[in-house]
Amino acid sequence: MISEKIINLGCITCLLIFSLVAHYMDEPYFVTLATRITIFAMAAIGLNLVLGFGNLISLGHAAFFGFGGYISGILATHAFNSEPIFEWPLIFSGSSNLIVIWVLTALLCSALALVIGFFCLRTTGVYFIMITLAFAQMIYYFAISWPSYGGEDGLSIFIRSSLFNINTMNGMNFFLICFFWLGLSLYLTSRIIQSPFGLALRASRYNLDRVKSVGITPFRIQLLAFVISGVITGIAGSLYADLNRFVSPSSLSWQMSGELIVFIIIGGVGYIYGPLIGAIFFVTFEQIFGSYSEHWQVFLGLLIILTILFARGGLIGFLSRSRDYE
Amino acid sequence: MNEILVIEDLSKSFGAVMASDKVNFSLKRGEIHALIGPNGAGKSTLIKQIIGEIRQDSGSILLDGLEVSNQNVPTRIRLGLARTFQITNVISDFSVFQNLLLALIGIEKKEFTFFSKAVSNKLLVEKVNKILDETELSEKKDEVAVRLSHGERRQLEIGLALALSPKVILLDEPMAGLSVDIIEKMKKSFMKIKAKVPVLLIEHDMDVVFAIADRISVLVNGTIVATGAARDIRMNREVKKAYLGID
Ligand SMILES: Nc1ncnc2c1ncn2[C@@H]1O[C@H](COP(=O)(O)OP(=O)(O)OP(=O)(O)O)[C@@H](O)[C@H]1O
Ligand SMILES: [Mg+2]
Repeated sequence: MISEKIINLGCITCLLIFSLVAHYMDEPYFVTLATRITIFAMAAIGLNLVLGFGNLISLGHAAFFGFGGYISGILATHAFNSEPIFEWPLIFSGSSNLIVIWVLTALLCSALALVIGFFCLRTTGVYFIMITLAFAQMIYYFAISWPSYGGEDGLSIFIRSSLFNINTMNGMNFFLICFFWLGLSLYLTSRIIQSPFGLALRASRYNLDRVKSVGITPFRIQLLAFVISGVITGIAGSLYADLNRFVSPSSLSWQMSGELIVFIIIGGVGYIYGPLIGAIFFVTFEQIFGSYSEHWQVFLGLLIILTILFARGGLIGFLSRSRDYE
Repeated sequence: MNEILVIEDLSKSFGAVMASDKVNFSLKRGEIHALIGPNGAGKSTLIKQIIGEIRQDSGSILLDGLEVSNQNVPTRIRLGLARTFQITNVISDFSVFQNLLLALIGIEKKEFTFFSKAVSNKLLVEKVNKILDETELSEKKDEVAVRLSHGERRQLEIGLALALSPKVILLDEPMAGLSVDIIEKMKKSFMKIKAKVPVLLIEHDMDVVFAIADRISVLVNGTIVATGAARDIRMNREVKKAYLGID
C-alpha cells in the first residue's frame, strides 16, 4: 500500500512536470490540457468540501462554476468595449484586472451560495440533491434567455484578463496562475477540515442530533461550508472562462455539476486530493479513449460503476487504504 | 434557590396519547432524582422536551430560574443542560478523542475557528484528557467509536455530557444492556458525578434506583403519580400497584 501523502505529492508533481515538459517541447495543446485539469480539479475541490466532508450532495455546483465564468466574461467584455455595466446609482464599469475579477467573483459567489444554501440546507438527502439542481437549472435557463450576454451562443472574451505585468496570453503563465489557485485551495481545504470548524462539519455529516446536543447549530456550519465551497468553485469557473476566452450556458448545465461529482467519486470521496486525481484521470481517459471512439463515455460509465462497487474510496482509497486527515 | 431545574404543568400529546399530562417536577442541587415508570409512560418524551428536541404543548421549563422552553437545542445546551441518549448516539466514525473534542468545541464556542488544528488547541485537549480520565476511557482514546463495546459507548455518552460542564445532566437509561459488574462501576461513577452536578436519571433497574437515588418520581401514563425520598417510594402503595406490580 502506498501512503496517501505520496500519492498526493506524486499527482501534483506529475501535473506540474507534464505542463513544463509540454511547454519546453512547444506543445501548447498539452499545456492547455494541464490547465484544464487544474481548473476542473479546483472546481471539484470546492464541491468536495461540502460533498466529501459534509455529505451534502449538491447537484448544482455548476451554478457557481458558470456564475464565476460569467462574472469574468461580463467584466472583461465591458472593459473591452468601455461601456459601464450599470450607471445607476453609481457608475460601474468592467475590468480586465484579474485581481478585481477574482475579488468580485468571490463576493458575488458567496452571496449566491448564501441564498442557495439558505434554502437548500433546510432539506436533506434526495431533496437536497433535487433543490440544488433546481437552483442551478434556474440560473442556466436565465443565462440562455438573456440575449445581452450572448444567450445560448455564449460570450467571448477578446483579451484574457491581466495580472500585474504577467503576460497571461502565454499558456504557461496562465497555467502557473491556475496552479497557484489549485495549491491554495488544497491548502485551505486541508486546514479547514482539521480545524474545529472542520470537525463540526464532518460530525454534521450523519448525526445532526449529536451535533446539536453539544451546543452546535449544524445549519450554520453547513451554510458557511457551502459558501466557502461556492467561492472556490466560482473562482475556478472564472479561470475557466479566461482559459477558453469564452463562457457559455453549458458551464452552468447539470452535466457540468455531474462531471464535478464524477471527478470526486473517481478520485475518492472525502479525500483532500481526491478531486485532483479524479480530474487527472478523467481528462486523460477522455484524451485516450476519446480518440478511439466517440462513445468513450460508455467506458467511463463502466468505470464509475466499478469504482462504486469495488473501490468506495475511489483511486486514493484503493491505493492507500488510509486517511491522513484523521 | 435549591432547585436547579423546575418543570411546571408540562403537557404534550401525540394524537390521542398523552405523553406528558401536566407534569410537575423539580431537580435539586446535589441530588440524583430518578424517574421511573413502565414502558411508554413518557419518560423519554419528558427528557426530549427538557432538552428541546420536542416542543411542549403547554407548560414551562425553568433552568436555574430561566425559562428555556422556547429555546432550541444548542442554546439550551449552552445554557447548561446535557443529556445522554437512550439508544447510544455518538459520531460513529470519530475516535473517542474526537467525539469528546467535538463536545468541547461546542461548549467553548470554537466551532467557527478555521485555521488552527483542532488537536493542537492545548486548552481543549487538556479538558478532553481530563474527561478521558474521569470516564476511564484513556486507553480507548484513539479507538473509532463503532468499534467500542456497548459498555464503552455508554461511558462515552456520559463523558460527552460531562464534557459540557453542565448545570444539570439528564440520563436516559444509561445502564440499559450493561453487565452486572459494569453497572456496579457505573453506580460508583454516578455518585461522583452527583457531587458536581445534579442528575435526572431514568432507569428501569430498581436495585440501582433504590441504591443511588435521593428522590424518586413515578411516571405513569404521562402523569407523576408519586414523588418522594427513595424509602418512602418503596413503601408507597400506589407505586407498588401501578409500577412494581405488587399488591
Ligand atoms: N414522536 C412520537 N410520535 C408519536 N408518539 C410518540 C412519539 N414519541 C413517543 N410517543 C408515544 O408517547 C408515549 C411515551 O413514549 P416515551 O418514549 O416517552 O416512553 P418511555 O417512558 O421513555 O418508554 P421506554 O421505557 O420504553 O423508553 C408512548 O406511548 C409512545 O408511543
Ligand atoms: Mg424511553
